[in-house]
Amino acid sequence: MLIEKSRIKVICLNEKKDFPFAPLEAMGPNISGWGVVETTLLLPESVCLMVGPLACLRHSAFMAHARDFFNRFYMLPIDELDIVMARHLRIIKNAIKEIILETSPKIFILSSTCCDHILGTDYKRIIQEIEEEFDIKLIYTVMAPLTIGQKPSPFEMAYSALYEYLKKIIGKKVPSRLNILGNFLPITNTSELYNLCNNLGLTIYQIPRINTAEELSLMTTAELNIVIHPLGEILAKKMKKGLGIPFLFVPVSYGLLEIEQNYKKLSEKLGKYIDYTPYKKEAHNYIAKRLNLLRDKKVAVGCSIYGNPFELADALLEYGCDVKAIFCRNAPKLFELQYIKRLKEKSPETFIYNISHPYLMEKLDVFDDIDISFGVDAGICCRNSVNVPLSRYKLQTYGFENAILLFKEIEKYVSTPIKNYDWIYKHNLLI
Amino acid sequence: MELYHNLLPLPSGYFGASSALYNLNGLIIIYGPAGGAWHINIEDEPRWYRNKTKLLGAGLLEMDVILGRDTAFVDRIVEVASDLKRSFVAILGTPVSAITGIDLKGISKAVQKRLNIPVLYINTIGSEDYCIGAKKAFLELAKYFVDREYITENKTINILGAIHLDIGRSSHLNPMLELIQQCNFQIKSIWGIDSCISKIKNCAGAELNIVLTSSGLSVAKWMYNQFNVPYILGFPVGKRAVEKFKRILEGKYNYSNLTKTSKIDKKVLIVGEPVISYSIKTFLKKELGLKDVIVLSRTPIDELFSAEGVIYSFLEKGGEDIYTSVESEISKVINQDEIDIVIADPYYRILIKNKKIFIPLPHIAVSARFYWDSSYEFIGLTGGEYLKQYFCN
Repeated sequence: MLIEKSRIKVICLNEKKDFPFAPLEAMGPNISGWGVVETTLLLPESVCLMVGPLACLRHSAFMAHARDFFNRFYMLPIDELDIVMARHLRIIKNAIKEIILETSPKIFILSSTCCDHILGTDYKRIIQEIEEEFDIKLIYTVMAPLTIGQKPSPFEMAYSALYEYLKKIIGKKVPSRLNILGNFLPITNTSELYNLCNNLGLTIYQIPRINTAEELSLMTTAELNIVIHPLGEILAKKMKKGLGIPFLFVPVSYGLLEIEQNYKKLSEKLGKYIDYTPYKKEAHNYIAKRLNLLRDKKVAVGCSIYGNPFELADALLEYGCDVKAIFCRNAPKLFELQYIKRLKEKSPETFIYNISHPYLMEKLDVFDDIDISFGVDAGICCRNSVNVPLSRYKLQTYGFENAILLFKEIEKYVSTPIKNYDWIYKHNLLI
Repeated sequence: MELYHNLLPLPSGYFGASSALYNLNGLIIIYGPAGGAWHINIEDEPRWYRNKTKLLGAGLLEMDVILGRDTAFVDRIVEVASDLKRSFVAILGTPVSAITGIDLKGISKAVQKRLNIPVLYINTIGSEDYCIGAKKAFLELAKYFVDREYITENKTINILGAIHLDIGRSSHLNPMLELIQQCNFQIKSIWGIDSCISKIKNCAGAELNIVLTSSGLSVAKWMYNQFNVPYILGFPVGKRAVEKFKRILEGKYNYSNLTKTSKIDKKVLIVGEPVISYSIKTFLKKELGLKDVIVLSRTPIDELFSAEGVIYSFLEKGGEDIYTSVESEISKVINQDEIDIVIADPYYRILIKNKKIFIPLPHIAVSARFYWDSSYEFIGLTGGEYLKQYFCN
């Protein structure tokens, strides 16, 4: 069966090379990541100009409209010949000036594409001239999916572009300040994490909640960066090296044990006792009453979820599910091996699929017995399942709240299902 | 300066080529980095959803491009095409191939040597509009597949240029299919939506072609030059044009255009694919009696009025018609005070700053999948009824 080429049993996944290789690519990298432009536009008071061939711009434009950030996004189509001849630099400079005069941003993001990346176009002079003329910070980033897998991904690079702004600001460390890195939507200030930190007298900064460039500079004064998604790790490393701010990787999790572990690590790093027990108790009680929703259910987990698919799969096994399939786009990363190890013990027969494999869509009936699929990507394959998107564009919780949210979402969509088609085509949860 | 802010840039050449070839049970391969094909599938090509694999990306990485790992690329295509057993392979160029100058034609030949199915190379680059890509794809298809030994069959017709980027869902074609059936004509092939290779092979014997969008023009001209098949340019919208169309198909070729005294003193702007827009313009002027109708197209229009082989055209050029793809210029035209009514994709609404009557006519090339499921018509009697309702209220 062709489908065999697109999957591997978890028990057989020992090395990176065991992950089923996709000879040609069906689904794109942004299934498991964010858009480059929307990531850079997390920076407050910024506008972004993307320059490149028509084909490259359309995708970002589509995303800008679907996710409603087009009011700060501009595009300049450039012919390949102009790029090769470097005739585009003058055109781009004029476009930047025009946009600055129209919008008066504090931060200007210039984003190019694979074409400039291949040619190694040097934008330094343009950046310098614009910065001098307009007293503005210009950050250059590149949407070059060519770099995926070998270097930091375009999403990671875009997110790390924040450092270009922060590196020139010398902030005096304030012990009671923390940054959260790696989240796209903001964690609300009434959330569990905020309450716990507030109880300890800690102030949290997170990029999606920062409204001004001045406020953004306060991130350089934090005593610790809490990285809740791998997206934030490169930025955290840069901030550690350049600004001396240590970081702790405690990713968003769904499993109760995992969540508790993360709080313990945080507690240890801060040298302060975090009393999460009321939240833990609440989550245990909430979940205990709803475990029947998942007991013996055949489930599949996709990589478009908020959080990590392997961690969610591990948590779902704990909650009594039969995890039949996990959809990923790449071989597991180092930090995911702990989950793989646990999955091998608990559910060795679970299949891991390469979601971008060209043969996956050829035989979707192998997924017809799946009851619940998590992630819009998993929902595409699992035609008869109740699709719980757990989309990173819809949710942003942390700690035990996240485990409760999992059950709330399951309860909600089991009782009132929304078709996977509608999640994609009406709610734009997959781009 | 062609700066975009509110509008989506048009799909590029390889999007158009993909739209032209998508339904033919082939394997379309985009020579580009990760996401190259996915953008088309998830944004512009709703036919992708839960369907068999048709469009794939090369998933190129930096070193593939810089070091030119062509052999590995050829191997991968051969592996997938052999496994999936499709009717043909089409390799489409992108900005990456345009920049590096990789010999995709040579690669196509190398793949061809190892496969027993046709391998097409569509020379797209990524900065041309989709219409150019669709034209190139249709021409390659014609040159490769159309059987040159044929017998002309009376009362047969080919529908050309029916790409989903312009037509939308295949159901939008139904009024045309019904009309052709009512005229006792048999459809030999549809190029674009609902195509199949076997029908395309046998299309040369058609008595007539009809060109629904600009993307069908290249093949229409080619078939006229190769097989002397004449064509109708544009399509009927509304009662009068439908009657005219029927008479044309009955063989009562009447070269005189539809006439009607214009009475309604409103100025209408139609923004869209030019053949569709001009067909609608004819309806508005000749059936509804609107005095002043302008067409604004983001793809070239001049070629539509110098085409040889046309036996009848539903298209009538006006002095004020505009071809521009510059957002600021489109905005200027839309906001002209004298324009009362705008017929356009809903995405153009964002540009309108003063009070206008807006008639939504989704265009996938403009708004991608956003209005794919919307209810609208533009062909035949139902097309006329859809548009007329806005003028009656």
